[in-house]
Amino acid sequence: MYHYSSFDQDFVNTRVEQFRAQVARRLDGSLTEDEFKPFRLMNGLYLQLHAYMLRVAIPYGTLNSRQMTQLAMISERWDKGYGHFTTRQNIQFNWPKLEDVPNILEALAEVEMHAIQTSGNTIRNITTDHFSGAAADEIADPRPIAELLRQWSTDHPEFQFLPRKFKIAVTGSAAAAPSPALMTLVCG
Amino acid sequence: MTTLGGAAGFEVIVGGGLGRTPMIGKTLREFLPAADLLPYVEAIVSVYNLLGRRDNKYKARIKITVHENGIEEIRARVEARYARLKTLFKGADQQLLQQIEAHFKAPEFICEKAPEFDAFKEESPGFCSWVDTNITAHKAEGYAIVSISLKKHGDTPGDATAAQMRVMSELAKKFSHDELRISHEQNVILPHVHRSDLPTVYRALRTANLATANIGLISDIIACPGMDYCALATARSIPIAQQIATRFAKLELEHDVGLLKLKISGCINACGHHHVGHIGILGLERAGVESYQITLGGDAGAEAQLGTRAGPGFGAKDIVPAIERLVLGYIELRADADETFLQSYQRLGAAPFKALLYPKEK
Amino acid sequence: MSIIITDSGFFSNYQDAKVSPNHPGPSVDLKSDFDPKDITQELLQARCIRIELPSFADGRAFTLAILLRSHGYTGHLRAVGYILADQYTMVRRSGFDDVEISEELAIRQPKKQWQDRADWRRHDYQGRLREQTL
Repeated sequence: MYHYSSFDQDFVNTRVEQFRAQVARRLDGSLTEDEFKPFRLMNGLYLQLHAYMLRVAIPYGTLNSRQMTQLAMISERWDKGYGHFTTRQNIQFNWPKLEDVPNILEALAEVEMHAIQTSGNTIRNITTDHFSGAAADEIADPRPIAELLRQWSTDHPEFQFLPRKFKIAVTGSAAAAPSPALMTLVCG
Repeated sequence: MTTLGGAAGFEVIVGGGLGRTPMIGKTLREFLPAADLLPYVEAIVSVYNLLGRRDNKYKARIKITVHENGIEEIRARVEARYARLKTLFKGADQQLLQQIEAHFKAPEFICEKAPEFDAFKEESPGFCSWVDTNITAHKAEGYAIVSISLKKHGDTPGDATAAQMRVMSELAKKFSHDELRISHEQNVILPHVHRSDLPTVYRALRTANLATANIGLISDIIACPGMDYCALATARSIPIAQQIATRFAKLELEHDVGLLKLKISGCINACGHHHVGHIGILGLERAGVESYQITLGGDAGAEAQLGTRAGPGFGAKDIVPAIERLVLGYIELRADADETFLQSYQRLGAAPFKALLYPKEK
Repeated sequence: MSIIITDSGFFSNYQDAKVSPNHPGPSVDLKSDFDPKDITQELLQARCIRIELPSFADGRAFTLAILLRSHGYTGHLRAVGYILADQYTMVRRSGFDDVEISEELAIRQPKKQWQDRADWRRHDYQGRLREQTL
């Protein structure tokens, strides 16, 4: 499994503090809700029917036991004791309070996780086959490519305000392959 | 030179997607060398950023950009942009990829034949049935991939409690080389479990209400959050999923029915992927009342296929009986027990299935 | 009156914010819907190109700036209009030299907020990926 380099870790730590400052500016009124919106979306925070919803990235659907335990802790401490796994291999918490979100993001950063680019008009979490690296019929494990794309797309200066969201999937499954030597990259 | 574990490169497909205007993607490039991934993808997004529509958010996704401009025009622009970008990536990206690949080295598998667990199978029919549906072949001898269903009949699809997350975490640590996966079908995977550990894993999962044996069956439903949570939804999805799962659990038929992908979206944005469900359900609002439309014949597999609308929508009270008629009817229609719902539909066409959904009054 | 923002602070007129003096050409204003097919040699000789962001959510200006630089434009590039302090790093990384906003916006987004983002070379995945070695 991928482990953060010091570069990755510094990046997510800094991002938590930036978001903390943005929340403070929203709460004191110097950012309007319209202006705050793209920044909260860039950090995975939606406004839903009844409450905020935080969508946490599980890059290419892979996580370790420590990260899963931390998700359990977050759901108990700041939400209602459960989480919802999504069709894009993420997890959503349905009831966080705005003022708690920076602390949740800090708890995620502690275990090499984040909620960056899980919403908004930007490049979203990269998805792959969930049996990668284990399946009997696989051309290659697509997760290194997905991790490279994760790093490349993170905070890409050109692509934070696209016309709409942009999704990338990489598959190394033999069943989907156009030829036995090719993986498939899907953009939509 | 990048090896990508043996793959030479990529086929690049662009402009597919579900949502309110579902489309199958088009091939933008039949072969992209592995090393040119970043400049090429950057070229695609860059072209889209300028060309994508910003006047109407329902026409802003790249599938519409491709549809309106044509794949040739997009290809020409992407290739032009790519030619300039290619020179800007000078090697660090490939070096990084090699470092990343080292992180994903396969765990050290103990490749020995697992003892058969026939004895346990005999004492536990539940284990038998779970092995049948929730275990997938692993590339290493003696290992199995375990899918943990988050679709217990009557529960919210994809939800896990903190206690359940801790159980899965503990099992991953002890029995799956510390790894877990989340599937797009909203289940959790233990990717590397030795077959001799399967009975232990099963018992632990059963205690935590996580041993539902229904992967790929009708109650393994994908459902969006729907009107219970989502501001965009026009109908409820979760209660419909719960009612269908509960009904089929009661009928005790789902193992006989076999592979059947049922997907539910609570609005036309299609977060529940109903377009590619063998049976898709789309929840709409008609004059203040929920109305559920059924689509048939969709497929998210290698041969991607969008489903076709079967006819007028059903009310919230009528949708579950309609699905029941459809599935019970399929059992009568299928050539043999091995022919899946989708295969029967493809062989027989829509007519007999529509007749099941909309029986003529006598 | 508009305010110019650079890495070193706020300026209230054009003279104080240094515009590269080594270009003899004119100053050109582009809208965000400018078609890159219209990039000409003449345009690339401009002393200063200002690209307008009608809304902070209109990301086309970032691509246009990157395109102009990739065509060899070395003059001054300025992002003008509705830009938020949080976007300063993106603006600079895309090849813009500075930002021009209204006084009203500058009052609501004081200097400190921009200065917090002035160290735009740090934490830059793209810059890192474009090096020769890591």
